[in-house]
Amino acid sequence: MSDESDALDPDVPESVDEGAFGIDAFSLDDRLRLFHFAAAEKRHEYLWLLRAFDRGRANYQVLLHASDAVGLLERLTAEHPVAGTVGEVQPLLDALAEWQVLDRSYDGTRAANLAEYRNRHYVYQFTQAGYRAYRAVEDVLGASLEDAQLSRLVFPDILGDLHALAEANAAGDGEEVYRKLGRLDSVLNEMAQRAARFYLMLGDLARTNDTRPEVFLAHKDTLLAHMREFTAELGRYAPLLAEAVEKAAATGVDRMIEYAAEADERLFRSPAERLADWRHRWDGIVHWFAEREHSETERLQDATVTAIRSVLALLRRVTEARRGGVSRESQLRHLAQWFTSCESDEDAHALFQAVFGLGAPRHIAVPYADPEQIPGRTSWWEAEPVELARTLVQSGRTPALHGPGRIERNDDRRALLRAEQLKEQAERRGAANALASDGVYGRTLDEPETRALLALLDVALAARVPASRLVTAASGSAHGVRLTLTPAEGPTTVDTVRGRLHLDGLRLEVTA
Amino acid sequence: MSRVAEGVSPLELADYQKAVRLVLRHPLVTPGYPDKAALATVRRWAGQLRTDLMEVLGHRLVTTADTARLQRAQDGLDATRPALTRAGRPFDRRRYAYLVLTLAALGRHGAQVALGELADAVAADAVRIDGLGLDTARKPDRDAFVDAVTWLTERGALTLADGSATAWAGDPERAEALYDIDREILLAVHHPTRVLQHLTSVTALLDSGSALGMSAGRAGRRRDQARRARRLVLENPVAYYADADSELLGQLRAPALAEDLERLTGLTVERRAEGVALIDTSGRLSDIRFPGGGTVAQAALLLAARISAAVQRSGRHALELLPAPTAAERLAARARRIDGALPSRGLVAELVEEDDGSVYEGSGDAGQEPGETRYPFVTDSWLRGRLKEITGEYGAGFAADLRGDPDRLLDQALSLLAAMSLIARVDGGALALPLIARYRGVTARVKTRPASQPSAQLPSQTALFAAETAKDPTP
Repeated sequence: MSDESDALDPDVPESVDEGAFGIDAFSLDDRLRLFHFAAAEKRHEYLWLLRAFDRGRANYQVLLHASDAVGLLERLTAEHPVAGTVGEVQPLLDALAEWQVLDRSYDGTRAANLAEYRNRHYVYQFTQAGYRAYRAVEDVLGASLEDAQLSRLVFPDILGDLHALAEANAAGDGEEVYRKLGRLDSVLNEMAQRAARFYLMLGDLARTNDTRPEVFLAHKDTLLAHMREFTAELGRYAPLLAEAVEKAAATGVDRMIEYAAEADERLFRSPAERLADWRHRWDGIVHWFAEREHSETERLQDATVTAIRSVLALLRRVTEARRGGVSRESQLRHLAQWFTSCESDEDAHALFQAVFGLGAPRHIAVPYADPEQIPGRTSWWEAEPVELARTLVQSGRTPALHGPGRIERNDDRRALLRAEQLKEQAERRGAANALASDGVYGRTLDEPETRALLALLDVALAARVPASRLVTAASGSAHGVRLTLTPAEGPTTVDTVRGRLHLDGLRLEVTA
Repeated sequence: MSRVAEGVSPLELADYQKAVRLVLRHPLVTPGYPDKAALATVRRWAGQLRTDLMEVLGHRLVTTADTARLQRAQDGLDATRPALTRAGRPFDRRRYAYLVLTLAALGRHGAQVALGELADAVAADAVRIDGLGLDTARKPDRDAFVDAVTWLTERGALTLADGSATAWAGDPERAEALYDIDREILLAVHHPTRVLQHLTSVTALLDSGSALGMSAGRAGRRRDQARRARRLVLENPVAYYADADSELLGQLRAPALAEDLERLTGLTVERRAEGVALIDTSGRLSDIRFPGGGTVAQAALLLAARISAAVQRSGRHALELLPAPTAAERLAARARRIDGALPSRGLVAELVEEDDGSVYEGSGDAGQEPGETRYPFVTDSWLRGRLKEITGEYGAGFAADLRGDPDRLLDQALSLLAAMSLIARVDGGALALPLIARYRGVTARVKTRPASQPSAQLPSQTALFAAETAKDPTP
């Protein structure tokens, strides 16, 4: 984590002190200039040239003449025909040297003639920064979906390391503390990076699915399974990891950091810097796993759950769009053109009906008072016309409907029902109180009591939250009393007038 | 075919019929559309509805958690059932295009979308369509777009979460609206059964029984024809025998048809020499109520009475008789016009065109076989004169804007009569169709009571209308 934070800190490269050498001598501008080649007009040629240098490097040919570079390029061309497009090498080398990707120096050997001298005048090699820039570009170029994944398999390792760290610290084994802490740090770094890359990939997927949904559809199941497994593992390990962090911290954080700083072998750091660095790393671990409000694990879990949801939504969208071979969208655009080209609005209305089919039946109203009277063979012209409401003809108003009818009330019956209701209520309350005061065991419950108990059980069982680690008892309340289900050794039995109720491993308690 | 509403007990039949009418009236039902109780009603009867609607009509009912969608088998190209804006105005071509582009754009969005953002997405698609375009800086474009969005909002495909669409249409710089998108409803709104790009004619979207016929065998063909006949009666104001080809005619005349439809919908079927009509006694099935309230409906009814009175004149004053275009001819003409607008009719389209055309042209020939039926013709100028009389008598109660614009009133009234199959509009006038006779003479009595009648004569008037009805005294 420390390397990263340094690299991100703009102060460090800016404040180049005069004595700095190697990569430290590069200012921020210098470093950014390293990437010029990737954006230049001849970027492909630069890239292939640098690849040739990389190839040379792999064969321990570090210093290259322009002619060597050409030779390597030719060999590359044999494998990748594209590399053959590189033209004149010398101006490319000059530019790369200008950007400090390559380092140019004079050739130490003696030239025999003028031509050789001109050709071999300079030798080139990667600068350290230049090589990193080149690798960074290659990384980006070679990146693919495959390397985006969440690492659920590291959790057991982390847990083991945390335990070992606590032991080593307790035992005062400084080097072991250093090793474990260093390893935890790098694992966490990787995990954070992977997670970031993974969510970046998901975001990408959501953006690009409209044009190329195939990739997404091909991998959707693995993707979802992967994320589900990851959250499950994370959920399982989070409390264990939090506990392990606690334990390790209990063995003395300051001591641990001192051990680690002592064992640290980095050459260019002062002891105070090392101490601060290791403290920073420990804070990182605590930030990830310790049990508190916004730990990194919790955030990661939230993010994954959200991601699953969005992937599902995406999936739905993509499959909908592709249903029926031709995408729905292109069909709709085609239809829009059709509508627009229609000669008249009436044609458009007809087209709308044909495509959407949202029309309703249409019928004349007003039936005959006695439709049976007119035989089906008569003509409409011979049959009597229907009778219409006068208002309809005279004023164009539909005849008013009759107002709502009078509501029939039967007060005697209402009173009777109410009395029954009150009686039942009183009975239930009495039964519940009896349950609370006399308990449910060691006697036979009468009918109202049984009914009350079963009702309470209903409430309690409905309220029980399954699959939770902490909740082991359930309770429910009604009629002013509360029923609690507590775990008990062996079965318990309640006698009721309706029969016996056996409860396996549970005990009932009714309290007022 | 099994009996209609087989699993429904007599006690619940009325309830079931209500559900049938609901689904037929609203082929798309969502949690809030047409009202909150609708979806529960449909869901309660979903199984039986699915069976009956398929068996009787060939309609497919698709239900999901949040929607019920009736995919109707369609027989004709109907221009009288447009999509309506909230204010009740029919959509124009631009609005239809925006509607489908909005549906397309919504497919790309997640759970929510801002109206301005959606407009930009639609505008991006609209510029690629010849003669469309959406300029959010223009108020008419914004209004049209908001009408399309509102149409979706009414059906629950979009739900306003914040802001206001009207305010956005007024000033997109300062106002905005946020919508929740319901993907399920969105999908149910437009649920194509065929890939539109593969069509060479709009008629391919229709359920043409004759196209299936050859391969389906005689029993299958008869079943298709029976369904077509029932649809014809159930979905149109009247099915005239003169419009039907011989096969369909047999099915229309079958007594089982009325029985099935009455049991399915709970409404009455009226059978006459000229055809069959289903009468909407519930007031809930038909999208337009006729006779109904309002100036246009009143004028149409009064006009109908005058037209039918003119029809009954005989001798020297008798009306000229003219043939009306048959249903098949009307369909063919309409289809040709719509097909003309079909985008990108490539080589493939031309190759298969001949085959395809014969589907509707062929059935058109069949309809003309038994000697042409002719109908009484009234001219536009005659109609204009009658409307003037009507306005003189009843105009006091008319809506002011229509009273001042008699041409528009006449056009709307005739459109209404045509939509109810009471008349057929032809060049220069209208043909009186038989169903109009049902409403003949309604004004005979009322006419005796001029608008400024002295009150002394009123008692005798009231006595004549004792039953609150206006009746023709001389049948």
